[in-house]
Amino acid sequence: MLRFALRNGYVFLVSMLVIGTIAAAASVTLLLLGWTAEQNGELHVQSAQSGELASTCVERAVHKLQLDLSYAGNETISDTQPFGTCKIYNVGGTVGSNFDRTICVQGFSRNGSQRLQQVYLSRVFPKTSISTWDEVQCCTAGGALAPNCGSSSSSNSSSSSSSSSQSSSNSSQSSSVGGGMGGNIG
Amino acid sequence: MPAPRFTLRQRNGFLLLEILVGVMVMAIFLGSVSYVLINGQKSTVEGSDRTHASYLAGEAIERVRSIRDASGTAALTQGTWAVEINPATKTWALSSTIAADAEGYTTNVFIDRTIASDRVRVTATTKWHHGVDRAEQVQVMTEFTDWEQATSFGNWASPAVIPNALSLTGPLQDVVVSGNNAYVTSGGGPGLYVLNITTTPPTLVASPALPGGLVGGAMALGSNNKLYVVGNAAATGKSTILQCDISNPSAGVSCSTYYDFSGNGVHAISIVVQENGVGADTVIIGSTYRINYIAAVSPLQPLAFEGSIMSSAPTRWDLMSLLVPQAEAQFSMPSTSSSSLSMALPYSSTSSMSLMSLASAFSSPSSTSSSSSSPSSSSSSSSNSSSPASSSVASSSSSSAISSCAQAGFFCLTDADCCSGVICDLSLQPHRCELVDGTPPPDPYEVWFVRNGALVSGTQMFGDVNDMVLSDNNVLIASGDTVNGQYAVLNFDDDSAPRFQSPQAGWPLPGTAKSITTFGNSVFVGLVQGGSYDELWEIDTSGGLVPPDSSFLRSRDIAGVVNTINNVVGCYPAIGTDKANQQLQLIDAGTSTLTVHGTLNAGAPLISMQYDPLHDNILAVTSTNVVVIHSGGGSDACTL
Repeated sequence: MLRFALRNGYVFLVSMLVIGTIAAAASVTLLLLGWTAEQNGELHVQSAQSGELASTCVERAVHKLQLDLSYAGNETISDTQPFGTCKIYNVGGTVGSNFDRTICVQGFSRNGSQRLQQVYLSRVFPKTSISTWDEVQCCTAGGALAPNCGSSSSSNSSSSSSSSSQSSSNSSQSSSVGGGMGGNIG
Repeated sequence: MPAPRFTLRQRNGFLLLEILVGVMVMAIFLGSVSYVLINGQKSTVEGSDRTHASYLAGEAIERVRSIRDASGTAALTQGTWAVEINPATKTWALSSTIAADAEGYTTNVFIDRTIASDRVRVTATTKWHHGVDRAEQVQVMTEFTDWEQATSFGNWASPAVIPNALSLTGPLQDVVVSGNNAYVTSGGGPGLYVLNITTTPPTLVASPALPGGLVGGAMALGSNNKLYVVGNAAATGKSTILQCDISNPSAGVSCSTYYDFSGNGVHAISIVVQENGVGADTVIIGSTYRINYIAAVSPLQPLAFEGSIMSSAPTRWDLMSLLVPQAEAQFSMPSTSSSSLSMALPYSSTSSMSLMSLASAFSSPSSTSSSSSSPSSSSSSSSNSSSPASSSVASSSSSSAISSCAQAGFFCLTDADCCSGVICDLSLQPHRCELVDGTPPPDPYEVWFVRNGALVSGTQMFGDVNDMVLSDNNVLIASGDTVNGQYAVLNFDDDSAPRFQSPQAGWPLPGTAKSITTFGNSVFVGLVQGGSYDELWEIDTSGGLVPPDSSFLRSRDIAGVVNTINNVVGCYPAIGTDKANQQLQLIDAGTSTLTVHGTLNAGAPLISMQYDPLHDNILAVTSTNVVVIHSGGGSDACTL
């Protein structure tokens, strides 16, 4: 008699354990999903911020070129804190030239997210004409310090490229469009 | 063995305890599951909300950008605003009514105009409530400038000189504009002048003496507030490349040696810089053609000899060109390693003469006798002129000039027959003569690549490299090179192994190219020609930097030497010439005849110039003056 009663209890116990395990797994899964969604939301914000920081640097670089055609770039803008920083790499093209200047910039949000943009100016004066404003995976200009496409001398290229945004190097955006929302989550 | 007494009682107690423990475990388990479920769901919702809010904030930024695009940053008023469609104009507009949308998100933009006079910072904030008591927000910040607004650009069809030019110790060589300052080099005086160009006329800020008593030559801006200056030894013409810090011009400009070419015997004429980041600029130097072993300079008057070629045989010298400054004439010879040379003069009938006879005619008596031992002087030549007006070296016309020079001895063909070993180089300045020290150059190059203060490589050319301009990793060269072409394209993807464009290195032009610039899809080249020949050439590069055929070329007779050419005056390439009353000419690029858009009498030949975009001026230098040229009144036909 006692043996039969024990057997019934075991069935209940095993059932509870199975159900409990499934419930626990489902709960943990939901918890992780929620945490992931929360992180994605935050990363989305930071990605948007790094894109806007990159656009900020483009705005500044173009304006500085208008003030001084010999503006060389190669500076980090940090007065944008606490939102993050951005870096203007070496301005491409002939120094002092009114034509064919290339700007490569990178925005860094405070959590490390980064986005890279490259702008090609066909003319600076008297009205600046931007042919392309792309979010890129690597820059064709910007010097050795920039995340350079195929540059063997760039120590930053591999790390930056791997964490940079979706490539849209062939796309052409309107000059009024700053960085898009696509992209890089570092 | 006795049975345990309290077994049943103990079992009953344990059963109750087990029930309690079981209930507690179950409660804890269910509580945990519930907590996890609730928080997981909460996090999921929060992540979704944050993403949503991020989109709204970014959208608000784009709306503000749209306002800026339409009306400039002036339309962005300081304060906190919502951005909504104006029903009247159907465009985005700032609104003081900030309200939550249907989903409970409230988005506003804070416009901060206090950060700088030329920048506006926009911070978009989206707020929402997570649950009943937890407020959340997302912020995205960006900045706008007015780069889309056209800068001041006057009527360049009628340029005018601003009175009261600034006089400096000449001969002035080059001018570079950077921000509110200009830098002028001089072949005399301190060598470098720093000017404040916010005033008219410009005022002298400083005149730092170049190290080692060097005088100034060509200049180019580099990265990180560096200015690269060609410094020439006043006595020998040998060059040293200087790197000057111009980060704070008002506090002074200091220059130090970047690379000393004196050991290479180089006299540099032109310089361009490819920026590769801090300390990694590639400085490219163009030098005279194998006059790489200049030892001293002495004054020389009426006749001067420019350039000398050492051909494939190192002991052999060929005459390349001869300049007669008073007659403003030049006759040139094709580069050749054969002993037979031809030459042309624009002022006489066709003929030819041997290098030997030329040497004899121009050498002093003492050196004439020894010149017969030169291998190059043993044969006579046949006429095969490359100059449009072939003519002979009329001994009668040149002898008077020669005799006065010959006393001092002004050129030689070999070390053995050198008449005091003198070579004259008019590219330095007229009426000066440079002495050959007889030491062959260690590296017979005319284009030199220097990086990080070290010589990387060199490339051989067959003429003076008078001017260069960069197009990506290509150096576009204006020279007297009749082999590669007076317009040549040198690629330096690998600056340790530069190579000419293939299969054709460049394009031949009918005269020595002295100046070059890029303008849109074209390259403009100015020639040292004079007379009724075309001195301004436009090369359409849509078919490649080296044109596939002559249909890609246009030209115009400027009736003067194109000393300098500049691309930055908005719509028009500007050339500085020595043509009387038209020293400045602005060209309508793209017109089939290269129409002159506007001209200006600057009073003297323009040696160098650069556009000052801040003030819509051209800053030019004559031999001794800094001239400011402003656009005329009214609007310009420039349509962009």
